This record gives sequence, structure tokens and C-alpha cells, in this order.
Amino acid sequence: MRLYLYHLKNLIKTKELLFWTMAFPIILGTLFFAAFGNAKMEDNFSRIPVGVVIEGQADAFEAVIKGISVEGEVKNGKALKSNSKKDTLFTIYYLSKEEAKKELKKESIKAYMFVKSDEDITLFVDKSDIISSIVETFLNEYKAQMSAIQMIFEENPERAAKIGQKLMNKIYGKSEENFIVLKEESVSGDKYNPYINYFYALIAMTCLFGSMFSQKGIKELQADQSALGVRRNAAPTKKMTMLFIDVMAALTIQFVEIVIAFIYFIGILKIDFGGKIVYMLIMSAAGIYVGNSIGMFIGTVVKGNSAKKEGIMLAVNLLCCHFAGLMFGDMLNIMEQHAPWFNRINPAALIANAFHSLAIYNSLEPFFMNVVILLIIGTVLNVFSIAIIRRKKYASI
Amino acid sequence: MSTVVKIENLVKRYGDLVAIDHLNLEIQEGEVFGLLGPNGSGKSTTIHCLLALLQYNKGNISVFGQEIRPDSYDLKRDIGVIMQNVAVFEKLTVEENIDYFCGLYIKNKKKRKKLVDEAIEFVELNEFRKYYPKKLSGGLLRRLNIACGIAHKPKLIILDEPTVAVDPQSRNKILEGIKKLNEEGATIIYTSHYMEEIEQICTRIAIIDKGKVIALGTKEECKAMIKTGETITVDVPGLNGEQLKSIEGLPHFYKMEYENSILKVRFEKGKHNLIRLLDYLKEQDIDFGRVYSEVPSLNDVFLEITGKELRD
Repeated sequence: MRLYLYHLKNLIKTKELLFWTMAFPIILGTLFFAAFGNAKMEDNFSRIPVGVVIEGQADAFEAVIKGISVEGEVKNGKALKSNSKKDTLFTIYYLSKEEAKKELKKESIKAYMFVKSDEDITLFVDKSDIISSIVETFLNEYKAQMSAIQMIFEENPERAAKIGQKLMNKIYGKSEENFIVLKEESVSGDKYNPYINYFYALIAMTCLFGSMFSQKGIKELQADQSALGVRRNAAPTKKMTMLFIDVMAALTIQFVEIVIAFIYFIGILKIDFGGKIVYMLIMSAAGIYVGNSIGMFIGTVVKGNSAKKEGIMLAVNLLCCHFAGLMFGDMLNIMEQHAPWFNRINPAALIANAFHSLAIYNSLEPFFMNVVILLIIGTVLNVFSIAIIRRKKYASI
Repeated sequence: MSTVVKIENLVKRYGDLVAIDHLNLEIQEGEVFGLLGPNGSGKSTTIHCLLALLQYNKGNISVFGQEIRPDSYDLKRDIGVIMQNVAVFEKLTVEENIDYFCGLYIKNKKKRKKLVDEAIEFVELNEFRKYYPKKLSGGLLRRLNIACGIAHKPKLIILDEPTVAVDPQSRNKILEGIKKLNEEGATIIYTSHYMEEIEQICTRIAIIDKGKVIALGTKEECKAMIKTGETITVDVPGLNGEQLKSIEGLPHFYKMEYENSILKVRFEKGKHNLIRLLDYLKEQDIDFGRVYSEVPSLNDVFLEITGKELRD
């Protein structure tokens, strides 16, 4: 207990660690909040206004898009704001190409689709943002499944609308085949906040930055890495005991940091994580465990000085977080479409996905699936690290 | 007196480089044993092998009569280690650091508290108990480093260059402390490349170079191993070849260097070397300045055996 308390103090007083693992995520969260605006964060997700320019026969496409849209009114070539309360993804406006261009410039619509046939559809956007990427994702999904859609449409045109629903589910990263029951309001968006992805990724980053603690711990434990390591290895206390104490102290501090971050995000910034805070803390605990494992692994396996190890660790963490949507909120979905396997092994993506699943699904199965995968990754890394740390003697000091 | 450390035929290679080359040492209880050698001679490597931290290619090492292994916790309990680099936690106070490291050896809280207090007293850091290491001067930091290694009252204390980058006053305090620890019953192994320190505190010395013991014994025994008995240095300008040749002819002459008007003559053991040399210079009517005579140092031992200075 005494050694644990000393380690706790040693870590708490290391200001640079506290900055990166607690202050930095809070600052970044505040910046996200400032950038996206308080109103936007609190707004319900509204339908995306999209222009549709039809210049050919595209019955299947029209049937699909109508299934997830309401039709907006067009007056004198201008798209009018829809007041419909229907749960749909898009408000579509049938426009000519010239009208669509003008409306896009005025931002009355966020994108328009130029449709020559069911197969030949081009998307035009004015700027690249999360909204345009949702439209793009829809179109990509449509194109990817076009042959199946056409077949279904030919056999039973009424089912085309349901296909649209399926595509919409995929846009949020989950297909009906893989997961259980979708909550209607989450899918259609009344409570969906497109910017929440950034906060999920931010919490994932906070968890993974815990690797800095364990890397410090490893450095102070290994005789070939520090004078402290020499002294500790020369002592009659088992190395695994010291490692366990170091890790427990690091996990304690990180968990407290995560709780503080949640209190700040929810209490001060009023970010709506959709309740289920206990599950989010469970996920964060698993995330911290993996973050520590990554730090231990890099600290043990990578040869060289601390700066090199810290550099590699930062690069790994930031890459993982980037692909989980820290720098671009829709990245998680893009990865889901193009490299879904990476989302299954990327710890940051697993953390963010678990938070998504809490917000979207009634079932906790997808959530716990992500927790289990995370724990497996952490344990595999730990087994490798411990196998090396346990070695009896060093080749050089 | 029993043998505390026995190193037999120790070999340690780093690839093609032989760091320790069939090294043999036996250290007796109560000794202050000095390992003297230049940087890179293998002193620290020997210590790391002795602590069972480093893999070695060949040889046997026993401490208190038992082979030492990484899990020889009972043996390690009686060893104190003070390494060249200060090994303390930056974010713990002086007292907490000593308590932490003492706690790795002593579990009993009451006993530990007493030992920590004694260690603080011993290194005279009482008024700095609540200080963090970064607030301490270099000398005080070294004393804290020592306190962390000796607080548990080990029977064998290994000090690997503990005075590197320490001011003379702190150095003297550290050396006095080591003597005191020895008087209290601890066996000391002291490595250094400062021959003055080794001469000052060690009862027996091993001079090592390139991983080999090149001289072993008391300082007198080591010095007796070489030819040089006395080195006389004279500040004398303008000596010619003939005069230098005459100096070579003086009794007990061994070696001579003449550079930048400084004449350095080494004589083998024998009496009246200084008088003879000065008489010759007077006879030749040669003006000379500063003159001094030195008995051989451990550096001379090293120089004569290896052909290079200890501090090369």
C-alpha cells in the first residue's frame, strides 16, 4: 500500500503527464465545443436538404431515396425550408441543374445529386463537412449495393423504401445483419448529434494517452532503461510486484482523470452523451487498460531512448484516434466502409464504436462486444510485455 | 575473515568486444575494496554482473558463499547499491525517497522509520527531509543517493563512482561516510577512476583495464609491482643531448622525459636520487627553477603496466 501511494504521488506530481492525459483532452473538448457551437451541440439532428437533378430514367434510385426523405417545396426554382416532422434523413428538392447550383451556393441545400440513370449518379457538394460526407456515404452505399437494389426493385418496388432504411443504418456504421434492434429515433436522428463523434474520439484519446503513464513506469522498472531501474532490480522485491503496483497507481489516476473529463463535458459543456454513464465509465476503464498495455508494450519492445519511445507512442495513439474520428468526425464510418477490420482492432475505434452503440442500440451486446475485444487486445499486449519484463538478466545496461 | 564476494573467470562480451576478460576477484569481509580503472575498463560491467543484473558469457559469481541469481532475494537483502547515476524519484521528497527504497528491503514500518531517520542523520540531510531532489545541490543529491542505498543497513555496500561531478567538500563528506560505514561493519566495494579517492579509503585495490585485473593488492603492494620508485620533476630550460645522456647515466635511472623545459626523471627504488640529479645540474652550471619529487602513485602503476594514463 505504501509503495502504491508513493507511486500515486510520483505520477500525480508529474505535471507534463497530467497535462497530456487530463488538461489537454479538456482543452481540446472545449475547443470542439467552441468550434461547433453550443447551439449546434444541443440541436437535434435535422434532415439534410439535398437537391436531386433527374436527367434520365432512375426509378430504383428514386424509390430508395424517397424511402428516407421528405420532398421539399420548390418555388420559382428556390428550395423552401421544410417544416415536416417526419423521421427521415433527407429533405429532397427536385431541381434543374442550374437551380441546384444556385441553391447549393446559397447553402439552401447541402449537396445535389445529378442522376442520369440508376447507375450513373454524381454528387456535387460545395464544401467537405460532416453533412456532405453523410450524403456521400449514402450514395456510396447505394452504389455498392446497386445490383441487389435493382433486383429487389424489379421484383417488389414497394420494398425499395426499406432498402433506403437499411442503407441509412449502414451510414451510422452498423448494418441490420450485424446488430439487433435499432432505436427509431436514433436512426432517423431526432436525438442524433453528428458532432458527438468528436467527443467519443476525444475520450478514446484520453484513454490511450494513459500509455504515457505505463511507459514511464516501464522506464523506471527496467535496469537497461534507467538508473532507477538498476536500483529497483537490485532490491529484493519481485519485479512483477513492483510492476503491478506501478500499473495500479497509473490506472487509478487515469480513471479519476476520465471521471473529471466526463464531469466537465456533461456538467459544464452540457454535452449529451445520452445517459448510460455507468457503461461509458466501464468502457473507459477498458480503454485505460488498453492504453496502459500499449504504453507497456512500446516501452518494452521498442529499443532506444525515451524520446524515441514517446514519439512512437504518440504517433500510434494519434493515428488510432484519427481513424476513430478525432480530426474528422466521419472517419469512423469511412473506415467502416473501406476497412472494417481496422475498426475491429483499433482501440480508439472500439471505444468510440462502443459509445455509438450505447447511443444507438437498445441492446448492450454490441457495447460489450467492443469491451471484450478491447480487453483481449490489452491482454495480448500485456502477455508480450510481461514475457520480456520478466526476463531474469539484461544483455546490456 | 570470510569471503564476501568471489568472482571466478568472469567473461562478458558485447558482440566482438570483450568487456570482461577472465576476471578473478575475491573480496573479504570488512574490506574497503577499490576497483580502479579508466572509463570503459569494465568496472561498472563487473558490478552489474555481481548484482545479477547482467548476463555474462562465462564464470561464477558468489556472494556470502552463495551463487547470486536475479531471484536471490535473501542475498540481495544484505546488499546496498549506489550507482554512478543518481537513482531517486524526482517527485518524492528526500524522506519519501529513502523510505521508498528502504521499504523494498524492510517491511516492518517501525523498524523502517528508525532506519530512515538514521540514514538521514548519517548523510546529514536532516534539514532537507521535505525537499524534492531538484531543489538539492549536486553534492546533497549524491548524499541522498547514498542514503537510499544504505538505509537498510546492508552488510555489503557497492558504490559505483559515487563522487562523479561532486564538489571537493561533498566528496570528502562522502568518503568520510564510506569509512564510517566500513567501521560499522559493512564490506565496501568502491569503483572509481579517481586514484586519489581509492588511495584514500581502500584497504585493497584491483586495477583493471580492458576487463582484466592488471594489479591487485594493497596500494603499497601495487606500487611495489613497478620499477619506478621516485619521479623527479625539474623546470630546466636548454638541456642538450649530451647533458641528457649524462642524466641517463645516474644511478637507479629508469626513464626520462624532456618537453617544454620540463625534465621528468623516473628512478628505480634507491636513495639520494634527488641530490645526485641536483648535484649534476650544479656541476654543469645549469640554471633550474622549480624542483619536486614524487613517490609513485597508482597512476604510475597503471602507466607502467599499460603504457597509458589512468585518465586517458
